[in-house]
Amino acid sequence: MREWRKLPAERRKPGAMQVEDLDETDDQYHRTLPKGAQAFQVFTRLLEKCDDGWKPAQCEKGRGDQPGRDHFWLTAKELADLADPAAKEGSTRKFPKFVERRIARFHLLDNVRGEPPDWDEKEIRKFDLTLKCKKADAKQVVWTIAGEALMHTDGDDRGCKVTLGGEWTVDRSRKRVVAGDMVALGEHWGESPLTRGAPPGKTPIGIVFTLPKDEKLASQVPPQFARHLRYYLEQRY
Amino acid sequence: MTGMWLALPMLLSADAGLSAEARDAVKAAVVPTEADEKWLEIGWRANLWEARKEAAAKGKPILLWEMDGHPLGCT
Repeated sequence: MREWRKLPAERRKPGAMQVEDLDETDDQYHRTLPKGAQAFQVFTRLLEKCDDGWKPAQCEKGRGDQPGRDHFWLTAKELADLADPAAKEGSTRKFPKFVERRIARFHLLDNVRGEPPDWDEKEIRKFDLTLKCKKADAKQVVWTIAGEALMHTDGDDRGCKVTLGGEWTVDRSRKRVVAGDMVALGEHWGESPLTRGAPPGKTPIGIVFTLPKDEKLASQVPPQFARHLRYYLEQRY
Repeated sequence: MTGMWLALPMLLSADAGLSAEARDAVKAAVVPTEADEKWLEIGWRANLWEARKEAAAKGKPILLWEMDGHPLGCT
């Protein structure tokens, strides 16, 4: 602020500086939430068991005891699928394949100390996630989510094995998830060039997909692996 | 070893996913608290160009927080 105040007053006046409109932007660097899509927040922490449940694991590196933060996007079509008019109590379904891959490859990983690589397709050893309709009426569908996932490298030097559970309430007319969350709990092992300092061995990990408190803000920040939007959404260029 | 086997039913629900209790325990440890999120009370702008236009129009400086990754998203 000191430097700012040193500028001539006429340069600091409202409207003194002109910023033109951008003619065009590079889509690769300006990735926006697709129309009708919904953004979730994803928080990740390495954990330690404590008397009343879990606590964040201590980390010797930087602020590695802080949560990893990311965003998870569902497209309008995927949300419409979840609003499934045929859903009735007890019926089951799977997420579309793209969504399963999106969750496994880009979100079930240890990103608390930096940026890990995404899991390669062949590194997904198991992904079994089922949605079961708990309740359905004209307005809403409530899905319980349950399953397991296992990803690891060929040499098993880095991996993640989790059990998933959750509950999402979907507004059928708005085609939005309006309540609930999804949680993954398991263990993670290993590190990558940009996530050095992982605890030795297998460490408990918790990952929470939740509705953002500030939807507008969350919608402006693309998921980490959405450098190419189609790659994030459909795992292809 | 016995303890591990005893702990498993508490974590898993009938549908083999995480029980509601297990989910709540994980959320309590993982999701940042309001105190952790104090920095979000600042009206951050996620679009630099729009922030430039707004700052120029209002005669305000910009505090730029940038990093490899996105400060409001992944590390």
